[in-house]
Amino acid sequence: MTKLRQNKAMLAGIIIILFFVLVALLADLISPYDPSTLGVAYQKPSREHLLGTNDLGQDIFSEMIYGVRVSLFLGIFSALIVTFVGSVLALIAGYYGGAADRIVCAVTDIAMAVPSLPLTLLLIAYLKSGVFSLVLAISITAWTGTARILRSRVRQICRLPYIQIEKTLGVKTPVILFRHVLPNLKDILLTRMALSVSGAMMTESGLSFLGLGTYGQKSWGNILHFAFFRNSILRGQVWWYLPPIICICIAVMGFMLVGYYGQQKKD
Amino acid sequence: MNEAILEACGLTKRFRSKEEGKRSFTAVKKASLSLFPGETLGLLGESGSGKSTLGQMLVGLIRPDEGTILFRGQPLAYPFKGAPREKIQILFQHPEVSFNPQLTLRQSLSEPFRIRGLPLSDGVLAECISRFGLYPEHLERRPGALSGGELQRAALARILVMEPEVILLDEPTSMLDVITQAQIVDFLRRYQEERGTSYLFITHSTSLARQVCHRIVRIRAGELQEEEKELVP
Repeated sequence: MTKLRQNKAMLAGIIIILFFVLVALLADLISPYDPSTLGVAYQKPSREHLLGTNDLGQDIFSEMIYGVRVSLFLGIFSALIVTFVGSVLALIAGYYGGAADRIVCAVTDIAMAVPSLPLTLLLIAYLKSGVFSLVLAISITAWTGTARILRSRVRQICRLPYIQIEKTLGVKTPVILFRHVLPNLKDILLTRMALSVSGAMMTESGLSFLGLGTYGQKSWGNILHFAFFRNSILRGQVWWYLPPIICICIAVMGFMLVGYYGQQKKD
Repeated sequence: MNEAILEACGLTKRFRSKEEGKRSFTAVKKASLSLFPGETLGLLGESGSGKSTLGQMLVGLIRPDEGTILFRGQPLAYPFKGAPREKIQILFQHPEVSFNPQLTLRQSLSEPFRIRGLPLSDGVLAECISRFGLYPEHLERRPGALSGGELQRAALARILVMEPEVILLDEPTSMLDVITQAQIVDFLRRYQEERGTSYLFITHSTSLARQVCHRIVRIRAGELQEEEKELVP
């Protein structure tokens, strides 16, 4: 806890993340309106509607509150998949070395060579629309960096005497991997996971903005999509297009600050 | 002497070179040696001569490209399994990285007991470390809170739970102070007298090798040189 207080960047990141998690969990309680309820369109910010209303008369403030859920869920769930896939591949490559390492490295290199945005767009086009399709499309293109960085660290750890001693004692491979290697990756895992969440949130926002996101569900990217395509910029409706941009930036920054702390510790 | 407990017959190990143009370099070339029961065999060589690679092949940590390893006359397949796996152990040079930094000494020391299915209790663990001058309070500490000497003694205590017949000592005293060096060498000598354990002592110090080894083999650029005449430790 003292270390955390000393690291103000990490603390700020955690506070930001906790704030958005709380908003997501308490959305039903703190949201003044149901975000799908229709009303008077294009209202300016007022006491009734803190951020005004959109083209369908829906309360933008309530949309923003419910939008946290989709953005956070997508980010965290994608990051979990990315970290899991990256860790498994890194453990296999780093521990066994040889042919296993060469295969994993080759697959990672090939996956890295494919431009991620066009591939994500292609996957979205073929997959059934929805949150899980987005999670899958984001995860398929995002695991490579995590796998590559973790693999280097696993290789370093596996060369340390304590792992060699475990092998000569006859400790079984799964025990070595899950008791002796994985816990020593926790700093780097935290970093990669935080960065993966922010990356996934950015991708989701981008896809939603392009109209390829979670149709029918409120997300920050979706709000931005409708704000842009209903000419809110030309109409000067700052209260419509600016809040999602600010929220995306702050949430991404929160996760990046947590990731930055892990990186600092590793360095 | 009796039949060799551990034999290396024509062991060769090549590593891929990262430099362009060079396909691989040979770290150990057709090395053959025999280790007899109750003997301390010194493997003497400069840094990069291949002594640790040869040692790690003999304990089953590296797969040789050519050659055979025999334990009590039986060829060993990589990775070692069963009795040979338990009976051939290693003590490394760097005690500070010989333990998982996330685990307490109690957790690390419990592992060989679990592997061998031996009863485990506070008393057993305390007894295990007491002969190395360590106390029960040391059991609750993580490696970062123990000195190099304490860690090396704990590392020795851990491998001895396996009741090994062969111990590869990879420069085990080079990172320790003179007093701890003497304690470990003295303990190893007494243990050998009691149990008849064989040691393969890897070092670059000729004086230390002459002091503790019965025989010395030199390794230079991966090739074993002629054995020096038998020494009396």
